[in-house]
Amino acid sequence: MEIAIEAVNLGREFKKKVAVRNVSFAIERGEIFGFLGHNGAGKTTTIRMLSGQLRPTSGQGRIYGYDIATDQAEIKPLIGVVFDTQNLYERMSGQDNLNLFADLYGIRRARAHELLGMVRLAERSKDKVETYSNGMKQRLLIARALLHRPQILFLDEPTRGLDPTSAKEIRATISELSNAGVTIFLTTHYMEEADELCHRVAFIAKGEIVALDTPRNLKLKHGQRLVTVSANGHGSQTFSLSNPEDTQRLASLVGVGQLSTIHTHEATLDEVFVQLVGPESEK
Amino acid sequence: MNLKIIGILVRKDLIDAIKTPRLLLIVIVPVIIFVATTIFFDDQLTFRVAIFTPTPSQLTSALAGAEVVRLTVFDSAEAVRQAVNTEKASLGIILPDKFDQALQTSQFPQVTFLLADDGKTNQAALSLVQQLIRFLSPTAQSFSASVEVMQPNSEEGISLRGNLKPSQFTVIIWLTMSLVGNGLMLVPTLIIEERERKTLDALLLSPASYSEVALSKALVGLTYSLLGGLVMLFIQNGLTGDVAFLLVILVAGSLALNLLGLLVGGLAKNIHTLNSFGSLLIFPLTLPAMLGLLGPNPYIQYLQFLPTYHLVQGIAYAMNGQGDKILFNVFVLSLECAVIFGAVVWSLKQRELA
Repeated sequence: MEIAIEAVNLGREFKKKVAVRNVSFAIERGEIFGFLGHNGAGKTTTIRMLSGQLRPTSGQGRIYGYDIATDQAEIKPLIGVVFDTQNLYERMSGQDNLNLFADLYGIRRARAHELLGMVRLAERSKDKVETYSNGMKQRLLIARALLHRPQILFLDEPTRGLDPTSAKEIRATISELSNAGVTIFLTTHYMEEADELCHRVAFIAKGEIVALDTPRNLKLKHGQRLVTVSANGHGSQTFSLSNPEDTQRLASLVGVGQLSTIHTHEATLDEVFVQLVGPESEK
Repeated sequence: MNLKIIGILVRKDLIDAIKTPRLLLIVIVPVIIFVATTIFFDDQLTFRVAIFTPTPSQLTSALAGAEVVRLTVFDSAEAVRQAVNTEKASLGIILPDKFDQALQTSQFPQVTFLLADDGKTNQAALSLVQQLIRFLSPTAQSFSASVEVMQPNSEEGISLRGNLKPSQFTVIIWLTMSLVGNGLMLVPTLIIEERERKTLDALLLSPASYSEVALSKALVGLTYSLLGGLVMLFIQNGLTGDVAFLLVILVAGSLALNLLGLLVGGLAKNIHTLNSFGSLLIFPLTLPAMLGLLGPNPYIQYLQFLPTYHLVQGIAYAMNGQGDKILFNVFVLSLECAVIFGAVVWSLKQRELA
């Protein structure tokens, strides 16, 4: 598979404060890669470096083989970024916001119109952005990032502060883009979202990656696999599938046929994250 | 530098600036105040007349009663001369002894008129006084006049005003304030707003570079500076003298101030910093225009390093019809533009290397 994004020992210091340290990963074309961490963990700094907005102070980054430090002109057409802030021209209409960027990219304004339809803003396209809801602004940001048909989309907390319906719509759009071959680099606070969308996730804490794998593997590797059973006349009991003794006891209960209910407890990505990274207060 | 990209950004900001109340105020307030002062004050033409008469004369009371005359009576011919020389009066009248009696008996008394300069306003004042004397005399031609055009005393220091009357110089003051406001407030505000709202990040991910974004802001400032300046000059009939030279000095001065604004915008962290430090810069930059109004002034020489010194002097020269004298001002402004532009490029490089 073709490597879309690659980071090799990538790092960034701000006045002797390390924001990102020795971050390494390789993301394949069409993959949805989740980059998860607490506030200040280094997620946005990593996106800013990979998208060419900030120079790394150590290591290397490549976008389809182009060096992020030197090949900005080649990289710009390949990437789109949805920022963690809704950085739109609020006094302009949604249509004018997209037209401005269409003009800068030198692409037809019809593309802007097409995208407004795609993100379901066509009816409000002439209204000023300051009158839009958070969800509408977020959809407009995605439309703006997609104007020039980028091959890689960086999404920095795209569903933060959105109502469940809007967040669901955004997630559906992300899946569609991935299916269309767009590589997605996603940062989020929401572990369920990462679990649902991402092919692989990396946990970042204090600027360093502490785990990187598929959500399933992370849950299997770090989660406690528990089963709670109710046996006739014995109440309910919980067994750990990682403990051989528990497994044997469970097997014997199943063997005598006295079970009335069985509930499995798979670890959530959230639990694995807390286990590996710690709660936010420990940051 | 991609001119197409700069054009797109300039078009966006030209519209955005007038849609933003704060920016619109920066652009139009000097023009509005200027127009208001022109309507309410400048239209009421006032002649400042100084008179010396050894014996009481009807002319003094007739002039004192005229609405358009602000009369000062002096007790010697020398005092009248001094008043005109120091531009406290634009027209001086020295009457001979027993003027009224000589006028009535057709003895053709000699009246000396002193003009601060031979501008249209002073000529109108002279004509008014002569008509008044004829009205007071029994015959049409009953006195002889001697007219002296004085050269204002410039030994007390540099005069940026030259031969311009204070009312004419007012347009230069408002023009300077407008250009300084656009350069030092509008341009940096446009940059800082892009930075604070993080729309700059989005622009920089598009094919636009930071240099193109910054230059487009300077061009927006330049456009509004020139538009405002031309409106003021047009209203005040200031588009006189050497108009071509006037436009050259306007462009050179505006460019220097807008580049300065670009530098300030790059250095100021946020709008609050700009409001604090930008205001501190505005005062010294408008000082040459303020001090220039006072006429010859020994302190003006210390302001020669400021772009506004050369802007004010250049505009005054051009309005006086002495356009050829602005070449030195244009040279200094060009030099300052080059130095400021160098500083701007340096600051942009620092940012791009971040």
